[in-house]
Amino acid sequence: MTDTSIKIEKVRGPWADVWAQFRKHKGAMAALVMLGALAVVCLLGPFVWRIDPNFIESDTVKMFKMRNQGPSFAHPLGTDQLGRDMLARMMFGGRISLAVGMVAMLVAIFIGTTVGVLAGYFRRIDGLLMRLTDLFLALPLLPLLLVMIFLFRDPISGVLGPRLGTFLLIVMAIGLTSWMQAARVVRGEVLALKEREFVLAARSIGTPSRRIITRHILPNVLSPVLVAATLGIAAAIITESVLSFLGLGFPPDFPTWGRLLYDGIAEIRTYPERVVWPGLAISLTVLSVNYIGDGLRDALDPRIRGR
Amino acid sequence: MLTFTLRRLLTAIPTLLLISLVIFLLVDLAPGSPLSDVPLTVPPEVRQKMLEAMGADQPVLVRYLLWLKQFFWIEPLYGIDAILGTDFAQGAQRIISWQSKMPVMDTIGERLPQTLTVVGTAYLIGVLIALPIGIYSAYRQYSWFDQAGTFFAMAGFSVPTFFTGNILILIFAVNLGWFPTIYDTNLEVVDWASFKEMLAQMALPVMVLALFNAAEISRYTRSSVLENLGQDYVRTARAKGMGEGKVVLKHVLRNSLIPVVTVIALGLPTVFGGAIVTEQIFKINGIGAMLIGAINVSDLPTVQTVTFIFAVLIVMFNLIADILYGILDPRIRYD
Repeated sequence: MTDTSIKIEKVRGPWADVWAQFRKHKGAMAALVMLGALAVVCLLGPFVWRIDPNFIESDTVKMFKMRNQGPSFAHPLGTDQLGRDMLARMMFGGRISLAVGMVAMLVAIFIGTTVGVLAGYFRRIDGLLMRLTDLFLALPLLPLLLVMIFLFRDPISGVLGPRLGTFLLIVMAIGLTSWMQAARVVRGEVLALKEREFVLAARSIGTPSRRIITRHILPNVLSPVLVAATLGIAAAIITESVLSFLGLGFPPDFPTWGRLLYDGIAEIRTYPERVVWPGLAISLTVLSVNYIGDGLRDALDPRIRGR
Repeated sequence: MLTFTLRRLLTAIPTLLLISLVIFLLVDLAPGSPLSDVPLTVPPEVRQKMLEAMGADQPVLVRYLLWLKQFFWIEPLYGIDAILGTDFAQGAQRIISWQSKMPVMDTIGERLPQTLTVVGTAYLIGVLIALPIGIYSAYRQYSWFDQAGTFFAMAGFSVPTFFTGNILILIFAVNLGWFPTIYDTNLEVVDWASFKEMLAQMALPVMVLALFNAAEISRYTRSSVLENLGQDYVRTARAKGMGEGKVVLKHVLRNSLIPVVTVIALGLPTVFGGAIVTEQIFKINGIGAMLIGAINVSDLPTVQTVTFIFAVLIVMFNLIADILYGILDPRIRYD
């Protein structure tokens, strides 16, 4: 009776379980490392590599000498057709590409979750909102995006300036055209959650709908939303680069990876690396994000987690 | 089954009308005048006359209804006339492109076959690659083949088509010189030599699109087959002493292809979107290139019509997917 040292296993929170399961997915872990490395290089790189990505030599003779250089110690990825340092431009472009992906995803997830929760929770507006979702799903999205950007780019740039204007327009346009999957998934979850005992209990003690949604519904739809959000980043980065590739993206002094690739296409035969680097960066980022989404889906699914 | 089909057909009509309104308003309310590429030296009264001649000074609602009438009534009449040699349309006003001053539908008629040949072939090849990969990865779940298949599928829809396309051009067209870089739409297949030329120029765009499609469809096939492999009827079939090949290819495959067929039908519109990019890479003179060209010169009637054609294609394939599901899976019909 003296030393009954019972070993109490440390209680793990739900997120620790998720992390433990996530770590078993080798592809997702590798992807996490890869994405982390890419993000760190893009975000912190410019503090080490202090060349201005938009610096063009003002002396014409010097500028001509600087053009189209191959890799060297001064310019590890060479220079472009105007003598700008490609490494600096890649890091600058990466920041914008990642920012576009994140913000567009946030817009899409915000709209999608709102529509999904409202449609799932309030039966009266369910039919209307789902018709709206179906309508959006039946729209030809890429052509519409092109038309939207083309028609509104100049007016908005005139008001907000070319950088902020293009950024906001593209992010909003991508967000407005990619919320439908999230809305459908969330609605399905909410429909099932609404009939669960804890929601009924909350309602029986007179909790208003607003608080039921924020306290009980939203935390429980977090996992499908997280997965949708991860995959949404990948989709947004791809969409942005497609727009840039078709010439309806960012201005050249405010490039994304897609824009850099588009700029490289003209001289792909002589300087293929100028297409390969941005293309590789986009592909690796999107691949990593997709793998992380896959891993998250497995980790957040309680049916798989126990195994 | 007939009522099911009819119901689906009827719901498609308001969807199409709403989409047409959205497209029309979006294009119409945007700033930018149809005369933006007309020189500024043209005097204002002449500009006004040009606007009137285009019908661009009418109220929005009138122009929308007129456009609907042209799209759904007059253009089909011209189509019938062209096929049967009749004269139903009697010279009614058609949808005219502001850029070429030609009927938009005529241009679409010229361009659509190019797109359909490339996209159709690519999709067919994509499906043919995807099905065996999907089935075998599900049958040998977590084997090295499955892992490799997963990776290729992931890479397939992560690597953007404009990147793969340009890399393929670089390797096979520029360095190896096997295929041409530019798609020649004037090439007509008349003999063996021109057929081989056609194959060579189709190889790269088809490969790019097919890889992209195969990635997605193989994933769906895999998960669908996996779900069915665990079912009781599979155990029954095996218990009866049936060969593995027969169990998988006859019993499992039939049931697991039901969702896959709808995914294939639903995926086609996305492929048309992908074709816009592919056409840009390989300079194919298709409907996607037409859209981009029209956007760049703000040729609004063409933009509206081509975008709407894309919408019609999407709604049509959604409908086909629904009806196919109804035919293949009797449980759906009685909802």
